[in-house]
Amino acid sequence: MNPTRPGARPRRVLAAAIAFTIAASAVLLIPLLHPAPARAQDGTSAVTRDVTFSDGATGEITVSKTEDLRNEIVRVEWSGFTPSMQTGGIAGSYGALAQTRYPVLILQCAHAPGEAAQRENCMATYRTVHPQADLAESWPTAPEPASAVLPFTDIEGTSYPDVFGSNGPSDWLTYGYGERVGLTVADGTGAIDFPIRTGDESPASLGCGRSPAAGEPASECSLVIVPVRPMTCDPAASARERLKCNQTSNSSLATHNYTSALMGSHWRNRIEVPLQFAPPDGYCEDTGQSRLPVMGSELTAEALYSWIPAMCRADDPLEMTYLSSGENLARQMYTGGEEDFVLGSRPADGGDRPTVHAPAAISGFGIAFVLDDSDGKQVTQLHLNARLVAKLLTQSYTGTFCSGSEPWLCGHLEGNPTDLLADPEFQALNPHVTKRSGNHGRGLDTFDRGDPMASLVLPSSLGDVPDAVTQWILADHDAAAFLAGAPDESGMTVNPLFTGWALPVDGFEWRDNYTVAADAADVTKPYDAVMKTCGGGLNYCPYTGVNLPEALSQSSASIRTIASRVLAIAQSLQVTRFSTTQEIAGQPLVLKRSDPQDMGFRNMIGIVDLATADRYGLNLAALSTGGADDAGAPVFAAPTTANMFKAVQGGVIDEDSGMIRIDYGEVAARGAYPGTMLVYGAAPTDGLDDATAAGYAEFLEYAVIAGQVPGASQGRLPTGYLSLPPQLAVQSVQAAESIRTQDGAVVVPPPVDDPDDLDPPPGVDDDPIGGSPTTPPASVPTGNPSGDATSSAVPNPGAAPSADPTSEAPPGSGDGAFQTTATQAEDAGWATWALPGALALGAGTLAAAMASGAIGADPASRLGRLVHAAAWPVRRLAAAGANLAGRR
Amino acid sequence: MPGSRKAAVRAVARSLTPALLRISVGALGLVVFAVGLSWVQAHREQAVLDDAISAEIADPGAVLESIPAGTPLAKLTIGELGLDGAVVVQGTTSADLDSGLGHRRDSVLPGQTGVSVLYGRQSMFGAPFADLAGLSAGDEIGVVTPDGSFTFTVDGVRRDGDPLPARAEGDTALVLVSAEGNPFRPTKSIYVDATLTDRELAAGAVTEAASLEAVGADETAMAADPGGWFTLVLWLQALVVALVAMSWTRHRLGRREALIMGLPALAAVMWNLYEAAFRLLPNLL
Repeated sequence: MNPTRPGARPRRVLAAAIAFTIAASAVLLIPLLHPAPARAQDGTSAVTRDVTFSDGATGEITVSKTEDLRNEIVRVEWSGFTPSMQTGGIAGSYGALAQTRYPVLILQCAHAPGEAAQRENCMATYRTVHPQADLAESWPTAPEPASAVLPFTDIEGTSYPDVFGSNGPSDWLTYGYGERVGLTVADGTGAIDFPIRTGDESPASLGCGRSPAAGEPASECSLVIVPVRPMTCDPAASARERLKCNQTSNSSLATHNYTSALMGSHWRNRIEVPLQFAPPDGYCEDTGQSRLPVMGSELTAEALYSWIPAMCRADDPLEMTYLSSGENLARQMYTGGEEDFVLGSRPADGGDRPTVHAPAAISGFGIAFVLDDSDGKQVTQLHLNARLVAKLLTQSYTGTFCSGSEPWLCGHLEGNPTDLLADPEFQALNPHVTKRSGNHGRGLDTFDRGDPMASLVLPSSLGDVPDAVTQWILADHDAAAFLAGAPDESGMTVNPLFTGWALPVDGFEWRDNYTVAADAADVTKPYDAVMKTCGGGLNYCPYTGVNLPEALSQSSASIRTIASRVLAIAQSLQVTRFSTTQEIAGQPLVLKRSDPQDMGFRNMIGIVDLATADRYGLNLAALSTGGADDAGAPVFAAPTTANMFKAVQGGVIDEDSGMIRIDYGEVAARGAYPGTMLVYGAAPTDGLDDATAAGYAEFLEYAVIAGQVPGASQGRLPTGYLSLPPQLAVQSVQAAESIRTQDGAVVVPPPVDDPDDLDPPPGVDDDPIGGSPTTPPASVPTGNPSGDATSSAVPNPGAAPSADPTSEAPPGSGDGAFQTTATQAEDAGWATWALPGALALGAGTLAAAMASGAIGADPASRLGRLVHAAAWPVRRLAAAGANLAGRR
Repeated sequence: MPGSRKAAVRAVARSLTPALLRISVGALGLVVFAVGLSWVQAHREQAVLDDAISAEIADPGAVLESIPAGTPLAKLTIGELGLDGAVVVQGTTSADLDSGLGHRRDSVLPGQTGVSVLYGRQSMFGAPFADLAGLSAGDEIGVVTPDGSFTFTVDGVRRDGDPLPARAEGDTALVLVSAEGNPFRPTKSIYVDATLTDRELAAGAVTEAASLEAVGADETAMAADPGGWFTLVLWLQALVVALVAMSWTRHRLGRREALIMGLPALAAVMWNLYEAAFRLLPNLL
């Protein structure tokens, strides 16, 4: 009953007892069983806390990293918490996470220096508080609201009563909601990977680690962990409050799922872990001096962000600034004389300036995926061959936005699978990826989030990554044949719009425009946004008045943001196709970027650079090398430094520039990682002034010597790179000398004739790049199709905290992937007999009263005559019976 | 002496008889209320609610964040159940279901995006869902709300142990809940799932739930309303007062006068007493 009706619910002890009994039997609680995640590795700034809850229970919590934080993933692990439970039996409700009792909510909160975090400053989406569940916090008592909303207050003091959609702080729209929901397994332990946001990602709402204004101290933030527990009602509260608390805590799921974490009765159990943030990427204190610019390849960005602060803090500081761009643009600027030092994987033309190329870093492209299987468990390993990537690049999957009744959307793709997961070729290579049920192979269950698995998230800038990707595809016989029009084994053909696509290319294209004229005869109207139907009963409505390629193609100007801002938060760049009420109200349809995908239902794939993917813990696919093992099965190579070194060794030296070019034939022969790319710095050896020339030379010397030592600290080489082999470092130092002296050299060749002679650099191993850095290695999933032990059997530990892939149960990574359970009908219990009982009681007592002679004993009374008359048939029958018995 | 023993037994019986008689009247009254009077009451309430909801549908008011329990929400038409515009009210406690049909407050309103859950009585108060189990896939359910008129198509009947239907976010669905078993002898709750297949929105229709509210244990399927105890005790006190007053009247004015004055009052008290008593029985009965 509605709590707004005061006095309508007077309580008696008995009533409370009955309510409790009914509540206990009304909801069936199914304990969740799944494997305990392993403990975090000891990080340098890991924090472990003992926790004592308000009811006296104790637990422990560990945060893997709390200092020098960037926008990155930390792992939170706990033990001694209340096991999460999935409720069943509430007919008609779904949305698995909302039905989970006792989850753990992890939030980031801003707070004043040295003070505890306030709920108003925490990045939580669900902010409704029921006063009954808010005992620990003081609440204005009269008049008591049914529920109240805690507004969110940003760093400038602006208050947001509603944080959903565009009503919230602007950065919530850009980066999605910040909180994560973890689950606790049966033994009380649990774990989740939490993406930390610095002030760069949340400038308006939290501003962690950044100064709100010049000269002011940086904002402080904490990680706040709120375990939602069975509510023990405050013994100090008044009897009435306790009763209300009991009622709430025992009866209502909404006060025990993740939406209730801000309610005082849960909030008081929070654990606050103060966080310390590193300066922004590539930060140097402003000394007023001009900085030497380097421009180009985003593959080097992570390394530069490590080197630049270290160089400017050295005793003899060198101040650099990095401008990321597509390599083509950087080279154009260099040719035009506007830039003096550019990074790229292909030669730069200096125009009239003699130019040398110096090896700077070895990294590469990767294909990263965020994918949950049919159990809601994160897939950590994929095998992709060049033909599958070619299919994705050419928009050859129909996508689920296309249906038979809209021939202009998919008629030209007839017979092709809907997306990657539905492709038999993919399924054969990845038998461990179980498809979600339904017509489509996509892992997503909603209609309005595009179809991210039908295409890749692609960088839109022109440069060397598209070139490398398409070189690899071109070198693959099957893929090249597919692009030329040959169908694959299951009959899938290339999107005809990509006929004659001349590879290699410097930039990716979205050619499919799915065009239909708005007034075409077969376009049916009006469109019903909720039913998702048009007047003609279509399942989908035609796209009219909408620029479809814009809505469906997923391009990012920066390849790094594909990892950091798309895949890391599982938020597609596709826009939602359906608006809700706007269209009904006759307003123009507004498209917006899709919401982040739900945990347990994620599916997205994109081209990334290895270093950024590793920083955000993205899983990277093993790519086909193009070679085959003895048995004829294709060989796949995971991105490991060992596999990258093989590719470098198999390269060809370009005599004009001294650069090593990847030879994809050798990649196939050696089982190397085909995404490997070498990045060179190009600088003129004539025309630079002394200071500039010396600066670039010094930078190169730092980058190829100190900067090639692998390590996590500033100035070292982050994961995601292969250290330069010693001979290439020597080449770079020689080039640096040419730049310093401006000797007019046009090429500095490597000191080896054949890259095969290169010595292995430090840190070459078989550890795959990508995946969650704090995750213990998972065992290899079954279904390794290649049979090549050295190349493809490299386990790719992923972000799923589950350490045991054999278990059937979902991991505790916040996946809302618990399947709905069977119907749990409610039993009527004793009430089945209530009315028959009443009838029996009434009839019995009436009969007793009659028998005792109280009724109808006096034949003279009116009632007596009535009874007498009514009893006449009985008397006749009795007499007849007696008569019959007497005759015998 | 056998004669005197018999007389003694009869004397004891006679002294017990008024108590037995009252228990008998009380218990049988309960049955009469369940079988007859509750239907009369529901019929009357439906008529009143129908006026209210019809006015609301004709001229929708403001969208409420929280709808008070007992507010009429929608008109439900199910040909197979003989329902033609039966009014659904907000809330699913035993008391809310005195008019037959209630909407569970933690589900969206019928026709809004999401799953809306409606409870209906199996045997009492008009028994709108008496034959719920008889619905079969394909049967149509019409719902008219201030937001428009909606047609749902039955997917099937769900009993204990049946899998819950998989639903995608953004679906619009209806779940009807009642009890199964012989009339007045409910055993278990049953569920009928239906999916929106057609609709006609009214101007200014709201298709997203404004807010969902938490429900108490007394609003779940088969739950009793423990608040009934309090009401029951109050009406029992009223009954005592009425009986005392009747007795006083009988002595002062006479038997006939006492009956004329007392019976209507007594009937009213008993009616409320039974209503309170049935709040203690499952809401789907």
